[in-house]
Amino acid sequence: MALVTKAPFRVGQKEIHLPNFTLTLLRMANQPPTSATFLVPLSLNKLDLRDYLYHAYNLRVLSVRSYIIQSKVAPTRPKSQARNWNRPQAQKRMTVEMERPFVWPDTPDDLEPWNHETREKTRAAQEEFQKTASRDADTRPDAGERKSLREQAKELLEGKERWKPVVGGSRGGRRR
Amino acid sequence: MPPNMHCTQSSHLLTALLTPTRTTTSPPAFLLPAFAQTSPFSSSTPCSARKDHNRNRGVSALRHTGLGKNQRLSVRLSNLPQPVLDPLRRSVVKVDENHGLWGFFPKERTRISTPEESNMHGRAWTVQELRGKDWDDLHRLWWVCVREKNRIATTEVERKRLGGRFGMYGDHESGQRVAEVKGTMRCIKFVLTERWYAWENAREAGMEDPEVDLYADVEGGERAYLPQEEGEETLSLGSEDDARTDPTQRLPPPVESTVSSEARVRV
Repeated sequence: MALVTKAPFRVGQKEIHLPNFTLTLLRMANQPPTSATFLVPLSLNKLDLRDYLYHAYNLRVLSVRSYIIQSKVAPTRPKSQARNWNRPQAQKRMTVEMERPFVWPDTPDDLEPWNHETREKTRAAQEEFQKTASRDADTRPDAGERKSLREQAKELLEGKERWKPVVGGSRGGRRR
Repeated sequence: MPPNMHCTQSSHLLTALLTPTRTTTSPPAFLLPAFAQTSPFSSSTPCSARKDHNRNRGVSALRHTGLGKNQRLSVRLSNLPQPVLDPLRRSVVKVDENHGLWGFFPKERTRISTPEESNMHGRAWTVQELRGKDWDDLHRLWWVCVREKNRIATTEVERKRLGGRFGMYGDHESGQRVAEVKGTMRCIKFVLTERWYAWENAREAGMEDPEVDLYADVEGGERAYLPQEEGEETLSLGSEDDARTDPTQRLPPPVESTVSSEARVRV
């Protein structure tokens, strides 16, 4: 563990104990390796960030830029009739310039540890099911059922199958 | 490039494409008609920017901009540095092993941690365990928790970005891990608050207590606790327990049985 050395910038006199906020490092596509962007709380300022990065991460920054992204007004419950519109809290980002460059580690080649494929298939199957169970399901024809009926009709006409009465009534039951 | 020549002129295209570069590539077949064409594509007269003969364009006397009297710039239009657009041809950046930003990544220095790695955590510290820790240790632990929360937040954002439309597993594991970290932070605050109340109660009791001198300079040698001598002034607030707990008094005589011998069962 490196010894705490005197900061290269002027440090404030107010001691801050037990700060309770989270800093998120963001991956920015077209940034040079000597830059890093963080998601910071709205009340944090550039001087605070410089101090924080020096004391908590031993990272000297040459300059800090900040900008706030305002959120769009959004409904609280998008799919319901009763919508309350509100503006979610804005997001503050700060970009720092560092002395030494940093390149993010590579994206993992195989996403199997995160079961990406399974999740994809599950979600796709869920979406398909939800379409059949939705209120406007009858506006969408079931292509699979149509194909199956076409094949069954063809077989009956060709004489390969004989018609049998369905057990269970009109709601569709077992065939004997 | 001469000033009256536009970059889209076919002669310039020819020289640019056919000059041998570091990676020699022949133009694809569908582009060959472009080289066969000798006349310019556009039929309108090329309108190139005329030379601005105003050397003092953009120079402000008030703001003291512009070149000095004998100042020479090192950059010439002819030898401007060219950016390397192909990412594969760029030089590899060597990252310092002790770079501060590694604190935002998992121990294995991968981009994001797997759900299995996220799941490998213990339980939060309990209040009883933390009561024995001193001020510095509690603060060190707090900062360990803060760094861990930052790392988890970075992983989560990146995992959601890589997951795409269907997402990737790891929500639950990260959530559980963060919950344990937050539990530890809560217990640290609890212990420190408890200590503060104990100190505050002691301070208030000390202010009212005549035997305690809160303004004493203990390091200077003054005593903070000055017990008063036991004298006639001392009050004795009697209670029912006094006779029983007073060591000077003798033991009370045993209670004699009032039951007569006639009551005994006769065998």
